[in-house]
Amino acid sequence: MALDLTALGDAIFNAVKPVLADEWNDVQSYAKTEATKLAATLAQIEQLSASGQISQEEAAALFDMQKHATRAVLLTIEGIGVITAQQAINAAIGAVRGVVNKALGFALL
Amino acid sequence: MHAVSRIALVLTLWTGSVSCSTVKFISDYDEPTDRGVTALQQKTSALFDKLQTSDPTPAYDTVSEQYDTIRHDLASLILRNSARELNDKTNGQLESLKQALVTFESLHKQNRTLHLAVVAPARDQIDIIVRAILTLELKKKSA
Repeated sequence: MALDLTALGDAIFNAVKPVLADEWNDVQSYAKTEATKLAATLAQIEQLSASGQISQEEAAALFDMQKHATRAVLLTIEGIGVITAQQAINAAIGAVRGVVNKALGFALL
Repeated sequence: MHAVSRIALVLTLWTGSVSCSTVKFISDYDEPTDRGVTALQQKTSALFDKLQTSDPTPAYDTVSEQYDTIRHDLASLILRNSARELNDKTNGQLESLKQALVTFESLHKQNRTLHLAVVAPARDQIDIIVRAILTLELKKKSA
């Protein structure tokens, strides 16, 4: 039995679309919130340093911590992207599994 | 074994290995990590609460045991997570937390006390890192 490529494409697209949309909303919300907090902390360090409330050494230490905080946030965003890709691919496989296996006559997927 | 038989055997093994397949790019959710990071956050929070009771903060020596406990707990979390497959993101985040805490503790130890102006942004940064770790770990539940 020949596979209907258009139907398969539609099935994959329909399975992947809601996964990407949901995850995009989540990651956008998280990234925006954390970027605002990181920016506020950076501005605070600059202001404290400029006004002499903290020394150069203390500013350097806080800036170093800021780099680690930024890295942790970016790793979360990257991780959510990886989870999204995993969910989307598994949804696509699940959407066409029955049709493909039936056409082939054995359980490929 | 005939060539045809060998091909049939290989095909059988291959289809068996991929049937009902799903892909996996990242480690599963790990409840001990979730609980461990949450407990660690409570300990860092208690430390910062104590530091923020006076300006300048209490001397390093008076809170060094709290730093020791936090360092010890974090080392256990790092060890556990380093043994988990597909876990490079969480490992990187735990390393960031460790480095940020080392930087802060070193500053406190070297200066003996700190001004509150330093403690507040440092606390915010530690909270951001802990929240990032928990956000990713909880997201893995839905993966």
